[in-house]
Amino acid sequence: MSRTIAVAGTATMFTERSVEADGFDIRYYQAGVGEPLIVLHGAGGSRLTPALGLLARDFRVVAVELPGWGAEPNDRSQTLGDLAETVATAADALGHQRYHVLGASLGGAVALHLALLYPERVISLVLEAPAQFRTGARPVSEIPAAEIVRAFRHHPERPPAWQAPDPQVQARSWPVVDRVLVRTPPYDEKVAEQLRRCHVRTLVLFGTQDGVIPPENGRIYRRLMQNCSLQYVYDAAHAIQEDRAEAFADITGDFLRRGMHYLIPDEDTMINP
Amino acid sequence: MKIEIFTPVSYYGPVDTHSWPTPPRCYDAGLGMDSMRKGLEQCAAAYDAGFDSLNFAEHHYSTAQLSPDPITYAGILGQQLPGATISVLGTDLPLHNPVRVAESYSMLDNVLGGRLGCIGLLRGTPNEYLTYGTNPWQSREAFGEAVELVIRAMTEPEPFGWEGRYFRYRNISIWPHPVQQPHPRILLSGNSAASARLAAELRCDIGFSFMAFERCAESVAVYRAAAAEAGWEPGPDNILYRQFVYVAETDERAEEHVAHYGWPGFAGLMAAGNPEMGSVMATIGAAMAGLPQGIPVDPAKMPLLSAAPPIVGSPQTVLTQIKALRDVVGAGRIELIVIGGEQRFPHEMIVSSLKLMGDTVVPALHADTFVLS
Repeated sequence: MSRTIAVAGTATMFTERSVEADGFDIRYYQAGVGEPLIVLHGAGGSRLTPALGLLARDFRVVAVELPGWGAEPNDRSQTLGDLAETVATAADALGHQRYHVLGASLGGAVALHLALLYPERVISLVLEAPAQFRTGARPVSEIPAAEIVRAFRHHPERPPAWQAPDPQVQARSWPVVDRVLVRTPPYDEKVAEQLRRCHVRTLVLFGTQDGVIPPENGRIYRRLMQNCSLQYVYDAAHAIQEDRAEAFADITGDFLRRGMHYLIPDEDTMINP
Repeated sequence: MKIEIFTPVSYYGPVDTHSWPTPPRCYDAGLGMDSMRKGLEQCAAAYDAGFDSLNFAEHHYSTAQLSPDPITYAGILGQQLPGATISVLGTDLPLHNPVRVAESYSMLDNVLGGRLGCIGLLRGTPNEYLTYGTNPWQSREAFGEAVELVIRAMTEPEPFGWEGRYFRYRNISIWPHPVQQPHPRILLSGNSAASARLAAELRCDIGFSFMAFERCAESVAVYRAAAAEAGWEPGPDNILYRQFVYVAETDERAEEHVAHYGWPGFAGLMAAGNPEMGSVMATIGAAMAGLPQGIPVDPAKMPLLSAAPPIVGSPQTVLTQIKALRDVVGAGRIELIVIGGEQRFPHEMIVSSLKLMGDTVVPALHADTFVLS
């Protein structure tokens, strides 16, 4: 039985469904038509943002809920690679052979591993403040309460309104985050070595006001990866989609449509004939 | 205390109009080239007098300053005076591509061998918004973003892009990079509380132009408080004050020269040729101050400009007034404009005054004494 969810500020309606994959019941939210765009959330859980609503105009957005963030705990996934395998299996089950992948924060790290495991399946990779490399980052648990909102949202007044994660979901998901990410080194040499050989077309986005992962970590991906573009999104904190929805959708959509040709401005500059 | 000179490189030649923009038909290339030579000689005189920095600034379409591209002068002067510190205070940033600005200053820093003293990133005077057609209502927001982009372009070690509100560049990787690390000093205006806060957040110096000392002190307080929030403490060296200054042997002689030449007489940059153009300038000024687009400018509601008078007199008189500046504002750097507007003082008088300062005011300031023996 599916339900539909409206996205604030857009005409987009996401449909909630589930698929069996890798021994899990994976919930996902889908909207739009076109090339599939698998969206992987951060440690705070799924967010159906206006930015995703805008992307759904041109892509089939499939926002996957990682196992452990739903109704059931996840004691099996031990690594980011494990989660990536689950996502790949879910994509297969949905009939998607090749797809774009967008991952935010923890989801960005999972997306990266998906691209490393199955580069032939990933058309383009977009990493929103990815958590794989976290040099200089404070653990979220150590950010003072007075600073936590600003660390994630430079503009918490913009829709969607800032919401702290559901404590019950967090109780189930946090052990997963701890295992697959928090206990790993902020700079993983093995992953760095793998990235040197990764040719997947990749866009890395960091907000200039990111208070969770210093945006300078974006340089690491640019330096290591063969086909990577790093973009700083001005005046956005860790949750770029929420802080600057139009800018995020604009640059991400352009990259997904045109790949690295997005470096060529194609807007009409003639004022009058 | 440091003393710097701002040389506008004025045009020493006749024109038949004093409104802005000055028609190019008035320009005589022979006089123009001679004017540039004189401007650079004035800089050399200041250098010989011991001035700590020789400064230029950007202005357009005017006899008052033959300096639409001050970086060119800075590069030339740097070759002529291999020991001089040279600054540009500053670039009218809203008129330009911030990446190009970063490239130009990085190149200058290399050409000067790391002697680029300070980069001023400013919003410009109202007339400048008519130079290339720049939206004044968005200038404050766009300026803040542009400053961050200039700094980012000078400091990023990897190619990157910028998705801003007002600027989009998807492929930035400037070469050369600056000599000075992380980048040469940057100065922003302190003339408003908002700009003082921005300077503090970005760890930049602040500069004041002609403003009453007490008003400057208010902005400095905002600057210091914002800097503390940002985790650093500015000192006097981070605060610069610009003013018209003329020194002669005695107070009487100084006043006599000022009266005779109508010094400083600096209206040229915004002198409107007719009332409607005056309204245009007022609209731009109001927009820069934050009046929303579409709201008519009411002169009765415009904030009063709180300007300090020029500093004029004997070396001791000038030192006493500079001490007041230091005590009230907390500035550790004073930047002098000696020439006035539109070649008010003859070249020889400027050189003579600079030499006198070199014998009196400059050594006293360097020794942090304000009483001549």
